[in-house]
Amino acid sequence: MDALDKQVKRRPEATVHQRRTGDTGPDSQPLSEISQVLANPRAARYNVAQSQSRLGIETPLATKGGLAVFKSLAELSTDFKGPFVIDSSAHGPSYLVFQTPFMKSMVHETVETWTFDGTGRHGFVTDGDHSFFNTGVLLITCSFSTILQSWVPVLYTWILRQDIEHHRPHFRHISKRIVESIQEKRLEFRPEFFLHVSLYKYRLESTHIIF
Amino acid sequence: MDFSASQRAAHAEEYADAKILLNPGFSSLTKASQLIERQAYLEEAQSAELGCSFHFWQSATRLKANGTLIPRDSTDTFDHILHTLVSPATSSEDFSKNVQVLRTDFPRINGWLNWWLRPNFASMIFPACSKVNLAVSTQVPSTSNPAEHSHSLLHHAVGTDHDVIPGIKRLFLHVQEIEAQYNAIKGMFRI
Repeated sequence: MDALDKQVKRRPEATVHQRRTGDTGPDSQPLSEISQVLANPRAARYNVAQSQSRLGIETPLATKGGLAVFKSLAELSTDFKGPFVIDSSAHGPSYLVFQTPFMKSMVHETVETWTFDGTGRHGFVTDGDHSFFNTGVLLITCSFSTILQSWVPVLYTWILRQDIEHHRPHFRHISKRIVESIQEKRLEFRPEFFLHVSLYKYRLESTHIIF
Repeated sequence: MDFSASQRAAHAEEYADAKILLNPGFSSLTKASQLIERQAYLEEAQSAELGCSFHFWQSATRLKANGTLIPRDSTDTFDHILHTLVSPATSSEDFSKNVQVLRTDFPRINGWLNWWLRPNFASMIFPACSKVNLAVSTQVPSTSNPAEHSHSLLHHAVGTDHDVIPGIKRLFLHVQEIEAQYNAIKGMFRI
């Protein structure tokens, strides 16, 4: 058991097949050398999963069953020792909204800078990341931090589809933070507090229909 | 509906809802007046929406690469007209005249032109059609590059193609790292 744990800990990201094969790095030991039973792919999968569980190594969702995601989501705020998943819906529109208190404070800072700062780097910039998650799109909104002198994420939302209803929760949460800032600081309303620069892309692949 | 239209419409809907929240008298209006008021807010949302000029030019460059759409000996004329369309100095009249020239001289790009000229989109790219205050538009980025750069940093820090739970954990680590940088710099200012 110790020898198997050692191999699992050594390369947490390796597949079971790769572990059975071994590699050219130091201390590599093919699983069949630990025990002949582990030469059997099925036994190797089971024992590696047991080892990952003992070591607290996360495993792909597919191996845990679909409903496990709800349990894992519920446990995340304990793991993170604070809020991060601030809103979610599973039945449609399907989305997960992520924001830490730090990111929230960046929204307030962005609104406030309109009232005194003339640096020319105001507003929010929004775009979708299609490759971070293996399904759906991760929307990201950034604003400029005068402390970091760079653009920082202020809200992330994972969405399953790209229709209006899936996009609304993302903008809803940003707007809510902006409204809070306006009310807390007793600011006079200005449309630019809500200003977003977004990617508007004409899809040339549909030209055969449009031209 | 493409994602650009969805994103813009979602922003407008939430802008309208935010304005309703900030309007204490809204609930005392009749239902009909509320609908009219909300419609006005949806239109006002255009004063807080800008598009990425980089992707407009990228799209135009793709057209120029196709000689059947933009004849090779006319690319300079095409470029000149587009620069006029996106210039803050162009009046509404000049804008309309140049659009007409595009339609006449380059009839095969009418579909493309119509897409960019949809009122909600035109206001985000062409200053002559924009509802955004000119002084405001000079103080915000003209492209969505800051967000695209943020994708690159995220991918560089914690990788791509994640399942949901491992992905969320990595996203959190990335945000923590940015916060640590922020706190470190803020701490230096205190010294």
